[in-house]
Amino acid sequence: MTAPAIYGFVSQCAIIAAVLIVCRDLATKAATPRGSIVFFCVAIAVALTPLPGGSVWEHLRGLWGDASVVTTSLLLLYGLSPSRLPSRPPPTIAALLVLAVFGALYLPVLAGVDLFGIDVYSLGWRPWIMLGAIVAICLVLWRRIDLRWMRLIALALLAYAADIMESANLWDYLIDPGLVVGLACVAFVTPWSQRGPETPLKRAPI
Amino acid sequence: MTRSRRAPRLTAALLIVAIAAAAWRVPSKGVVEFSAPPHGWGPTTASSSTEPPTLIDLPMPTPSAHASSIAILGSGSLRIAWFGGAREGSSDVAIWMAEVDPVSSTVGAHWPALGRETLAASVHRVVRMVGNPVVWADGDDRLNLWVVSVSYGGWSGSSVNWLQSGDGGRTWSGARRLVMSPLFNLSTLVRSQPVAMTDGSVGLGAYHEFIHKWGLWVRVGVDGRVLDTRTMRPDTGNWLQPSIAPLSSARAVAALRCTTSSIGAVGLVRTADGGESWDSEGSTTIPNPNSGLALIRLADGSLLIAANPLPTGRSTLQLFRSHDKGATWAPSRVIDTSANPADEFSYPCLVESRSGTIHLSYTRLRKGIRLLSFGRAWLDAEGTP
Repeated sequence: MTAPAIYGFVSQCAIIAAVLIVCRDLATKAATPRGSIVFFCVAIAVALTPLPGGSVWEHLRGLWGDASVVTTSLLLLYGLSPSRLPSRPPPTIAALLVLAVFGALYLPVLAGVDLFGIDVYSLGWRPWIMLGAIVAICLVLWRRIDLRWMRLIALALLAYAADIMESANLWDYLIDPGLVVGLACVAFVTPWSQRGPETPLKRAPI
Repeated sequence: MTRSRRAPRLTAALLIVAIAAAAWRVPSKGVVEFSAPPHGWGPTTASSSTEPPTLIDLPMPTPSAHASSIAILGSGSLRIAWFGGAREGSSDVAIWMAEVDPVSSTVGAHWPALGRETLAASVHRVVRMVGNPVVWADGDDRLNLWVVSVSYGGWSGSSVNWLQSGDGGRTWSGARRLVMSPLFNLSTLVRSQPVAMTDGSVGLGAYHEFIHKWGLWVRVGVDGRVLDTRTMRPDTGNWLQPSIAPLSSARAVAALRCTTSSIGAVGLVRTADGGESWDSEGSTTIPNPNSGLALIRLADGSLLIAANPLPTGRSTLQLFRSHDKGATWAPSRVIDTSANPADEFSYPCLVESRSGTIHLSYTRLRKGIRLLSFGRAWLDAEGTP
């Protein structure tokens, strides 16, 4: 298997495990998060279950593709160690992110028109502007959001450097429609998760 | 030092390392120029044959065949690929390939080059349909194949895969899936012949087909990795299947299929910077009933389009020529026509060999693939085949 195929398998297993854990928590009405390696073992078994045309994970991969590195990491944390999940971002920041990503990346695909004549997705092929923006955003948000988000972004950048996804576009390592839906829930519907501990917004200075 | 004090520093260090690593991975832009054709950029006045075209109907192992593509190997031998099966989209559809010797006008072997099970095993995802093969031989005589696959839904749920062969298409490397859209990589397809760039990369005329339709210039590296994409829109409306003809190292023109009935004509876009940007040029005078077309630049500098110039239907396939870089177009030879409007002569593919022979393949009645080979002078002579 190639590196993108292995990543795809891990990504689909993380999705399956997260769904299983949500189902368990709904059934048991669990109020606190509980990670479970057992559920990942079950998820792997489900993923490898053969179906006509391919195994379950190959069907899911054909259906919605691979999740971004950020989303896959969040799902893995959710399933294995929920206490290490980053705290939810402030709703204002989440709302701004959702509107920016939807307007810049997804709306052009659905509406067929580039906003302001700029094909924002194409910025991800030679992402110098994106890397500059990431540096600027990290500096601006350094004391405003959980540092664990920064670590997830760093992980996505390292994955991009290692070329572990099928895509060669940096956007696909950072974000995907599932993550945007999650952020939209934080921003507009309900708090994303009661699972992770609330991290103080203000920390001790470096 | 406490853990809470170390964490921000470690995070900052991790970010710096990650940004540096990502910066190292960013592909260099380099000089983006179109490769000169074998006969160079200048117009060639060498004479060519006025003989009638040679005509070959490829052997058809399946009831249905569509969307052919021609590659010229270094030896001059042709490889023609198409998709065939019981019918378009059926589970038995595979990519077929045939070898043709253009000198003796004989067809050699033909074989199934790629089936959906093989592709599925290679890209590790379900593949329910394959279609629209595009074949092209690079400077090292490796045969490249871009092929559309569908996991779920119809053609608008397609994605593009790339494979390579070092033995003329008998065996193929593992496939690489080209991701070109941020929304589930939804609906990216290819159809037209690629163009070579001076840095070894390849320019593909791809397109997006879900809800709205537009052309997509895609530059692909030697490892199959997408290096860049740019949208191509001749005008408002919906456009598909850009066919690209370089005019110089920096300039090129692309003709697009029109799916907006109120426009109903072949559209054009142009670049003056090696594909970095594509300017709209509106539609031409060539009617287009939402059908595929092919465009090439001939050795004499003129442009040649093969298209179905009808308000509706695909019952006539005709050539059009431009001697002013696409500003105006004149009708040329009628290649195939029928009085029955339901008949179809469609999805042409045009290539020109080093010797100046023009090869045209197209779908005939959705049952077969026909190959015509002719000289440039034949286009200028009177009469129809």
